[in-house]
Amino acid sequence: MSHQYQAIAWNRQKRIYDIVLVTGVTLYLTLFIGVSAFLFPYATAKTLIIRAAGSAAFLLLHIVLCIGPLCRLDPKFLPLLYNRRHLGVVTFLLGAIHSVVAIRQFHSFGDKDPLVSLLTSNQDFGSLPDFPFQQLGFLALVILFFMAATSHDFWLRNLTPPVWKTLHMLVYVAYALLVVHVTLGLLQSETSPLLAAGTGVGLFTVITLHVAAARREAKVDWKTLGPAAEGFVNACALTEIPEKCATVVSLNGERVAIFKYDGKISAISNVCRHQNGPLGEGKIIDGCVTCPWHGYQYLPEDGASPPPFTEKVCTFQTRIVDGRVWIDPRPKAPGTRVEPSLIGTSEGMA
Amino acid sequence: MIQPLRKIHRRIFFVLALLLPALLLGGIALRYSWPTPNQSGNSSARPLLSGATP
Repeated sequence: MSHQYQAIAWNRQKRIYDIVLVTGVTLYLTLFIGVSAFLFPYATAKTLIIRAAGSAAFLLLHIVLCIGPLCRLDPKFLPLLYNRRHLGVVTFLLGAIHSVVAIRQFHSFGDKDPLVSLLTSNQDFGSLPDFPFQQLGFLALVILFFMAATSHDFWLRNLTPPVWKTLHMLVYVAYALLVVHVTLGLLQSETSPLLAAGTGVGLFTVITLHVAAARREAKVDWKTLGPAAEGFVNACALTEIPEKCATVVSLNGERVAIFKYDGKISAISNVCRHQNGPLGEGKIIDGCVTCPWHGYQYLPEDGASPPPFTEKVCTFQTRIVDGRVWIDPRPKAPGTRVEPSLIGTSEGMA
Repeated sequence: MIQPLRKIHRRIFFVLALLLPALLLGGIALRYSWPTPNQSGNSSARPLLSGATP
């Protein structure tokens, strides 16, 4: 959490994350090139680099895409999410190495500009086996570039989280382009069943995890709440909310996190102002609701970040009646203080 | 605020879940039969695709 511009707000966890990332990528590239040079002694250095960087980028993109749903399914994976954007930037860099060396290898010896050659040399769009797969990879790289370039909080803040999230959903378009790039490129010339099976397993894993996470999320959205009275909705039982944690309910299509702490109940929007993280899956730490994704904090009574931070989320009026929490579904303006309901002082409801 | 994004996300994955496996299987099924070492004299063998690494 930061209230002023910094290139990267380094901390211990980010350093460990990046050391593991760089070590892992370096080991992969070294092993890939070493083993390939041994198995295919006639392959050129450029070919080995193209293959090593391309496969590393493709693998890393799979990991990036699996982290989100894994965290929805099991909070144990949350540490992977913390610095996921660095994984994305490294994916782009590896893809860029793959592309630059490939363009030099295949498009720089003619009289055309290499980029023009890349985009115009094959235009057989009607044939699946001869499809111009290189253009697909290039388009995916352009998308990854925009995502890497706007991955900083500076852009998140200026574009606003909904626009930024929408832009970064293009990663799925990039992934689709790369699956087709691999299928119509590498898998056309390399007939090893291992490569085809590996691509299939990767695709199956990404899709299965996302579908499983979506089904889990849909249960919260589709859960029917109790009847309304005096403008309040019967949301949940007090016993459903763990201490210093929340239960999430869906009101009018938006999610609300109901927190129980120190004998009190408060309800705030479930959506973190930083990257739309799920506040209701966080805990109350040092008196503040703490987002499980990047640690942004909000006071449960008014939904405002403690000074000097300025983020604010909507709050909701609550009541406790006969051991159940009732909520007024009309959100208060972000940062509006709402007196917490005290557990043990049940109010009447007509 | 976030529900429209969730809906877009669900739709994207619904399309990808149908489209990508079909493209992967179609791409593999329709690929050319590349010459194996004992068929090196086959004159009908196609040249390497542009960009394919030998």
